Amino acid sequence: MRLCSLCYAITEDDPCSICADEERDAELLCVVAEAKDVYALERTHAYKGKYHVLGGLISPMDGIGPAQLRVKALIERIGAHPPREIVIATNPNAEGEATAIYLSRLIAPLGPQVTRLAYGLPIGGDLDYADEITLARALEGRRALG
Amino acid sequence: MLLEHLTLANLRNYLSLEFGPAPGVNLLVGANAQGKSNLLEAIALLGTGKSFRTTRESELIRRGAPLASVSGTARVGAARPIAINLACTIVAGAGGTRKQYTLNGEGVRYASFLGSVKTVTFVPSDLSLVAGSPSLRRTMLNEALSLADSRYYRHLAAYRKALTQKNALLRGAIPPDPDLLAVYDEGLVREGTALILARRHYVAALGEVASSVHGHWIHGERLELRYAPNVFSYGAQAVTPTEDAVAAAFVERLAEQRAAEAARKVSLVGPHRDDLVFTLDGEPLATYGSQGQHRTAVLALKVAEYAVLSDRTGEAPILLLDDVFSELDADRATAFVGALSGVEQAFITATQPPRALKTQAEETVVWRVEAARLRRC
Repeated sequence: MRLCSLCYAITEDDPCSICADEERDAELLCVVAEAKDVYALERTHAYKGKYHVLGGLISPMDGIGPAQLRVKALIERIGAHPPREIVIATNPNAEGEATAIYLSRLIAPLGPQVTRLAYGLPIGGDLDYADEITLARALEGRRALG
Repeated sequence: MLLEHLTLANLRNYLSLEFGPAPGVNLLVGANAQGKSNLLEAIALLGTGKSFRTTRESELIRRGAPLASVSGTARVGAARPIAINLACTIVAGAGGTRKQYTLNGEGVRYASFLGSVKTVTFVPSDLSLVAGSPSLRRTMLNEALSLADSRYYRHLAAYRKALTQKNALLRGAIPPDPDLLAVYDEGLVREGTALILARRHYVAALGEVASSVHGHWIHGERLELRYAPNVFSYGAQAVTPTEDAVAAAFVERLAEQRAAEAARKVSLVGPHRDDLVFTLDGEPLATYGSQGQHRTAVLALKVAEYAVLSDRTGEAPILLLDDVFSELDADRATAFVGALSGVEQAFITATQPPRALKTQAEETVVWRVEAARLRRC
């Protein structure tokens, strides 16, 4: 097992099967913190683009800055083959948020549209039982019907 | 609100305790080191999830036990009271202690637990609030506001997280990065603005009550509370600042201090450097007042804290007074007790029954505390 030289996911072959797949949308790039997040998104069968694994989240208090992550590689990748959209799929916690905002500041001037996963309610959940923060975020991220 | 039942296990000197307090005043009397304050601390733990005596939570666990727990049943809600069950467990571990909270049998996060039962605590160390360091007064504001409104606590937690990261960046934990600094500054402005507005509103309410209570006690002296935010000067704020105005002042102040922050390697701007100033007839009390004037001001502040929390939540909080009467002369103690109105339930510790309580008509139940046992007298 090793890391894919393009996206840094764990793979047996380099490039990995996702990067090598020409059926996948090469202009759609999803940025995740860890390789396991790639598997989580792949299980949805809803995403048809490519990935970029950062290798963690920015947290200066833990000594982790952009230089400790694959941020430079991401910028170079965008420069070489500019995608039309970049989906930032970091965890909805403080470090995930900060990393997402930081990346969007770097990427936006390069051209691609930057998007972020929506916050929302779990499917099959009860409004009653949702904590206020989740519910407030779900309300902010509401969308028009029809 | 009423605490109807309290169960302790391995907390401080209590191996186990079942306690069914009365409505009204519960007076806990006993010699020192018998467990009076420990009991008060346990009740506060149900309200705030924190000890008012220590930040080293391992002290809460009875020696040799793996964990300590406090659980209780409280009746809450003004219009239609309901019974809720709360528990806070402190577990010892290799890397320190951790706490678990449950509400009606379900594990919940601290933010959801906090303030389910509302308490107002008064301990002798509060008497140094006027002249002590600003951090004491910020802690007072943070605790009172977190208890009154869980959104405040969430803003505070997010603010502190961004501040810790910003300070690590300034300290040089990772190489300087202006874009990253801007990300944390944005977070500080967003969360900090909410804190500033909430504090401003709260101090105004607190000041109004404290000033009026103080005026009844001491004619001819005018006590005022003034919020002193770090990001704008109060003098220029005759009108209520809007969210946008506060955020703009915050951004401006950050820009002004950017070089200084980089040079000193620490964050210098934001509500973590706010203060609350007490003035008497316009003069700052901390520098000009006597010990006695400081104490009277703190008593007025505590009455105000109780009144404002009652007003905001629509029901009377549980009052916890830890050995404060031994610190007050008879006149001040009587005035303080007389000014507290609408108390549904209070817990008061003392080595001797305080005289001040005898003037009160409400019922008082006396509990004798001896070697971690309670006996109703």
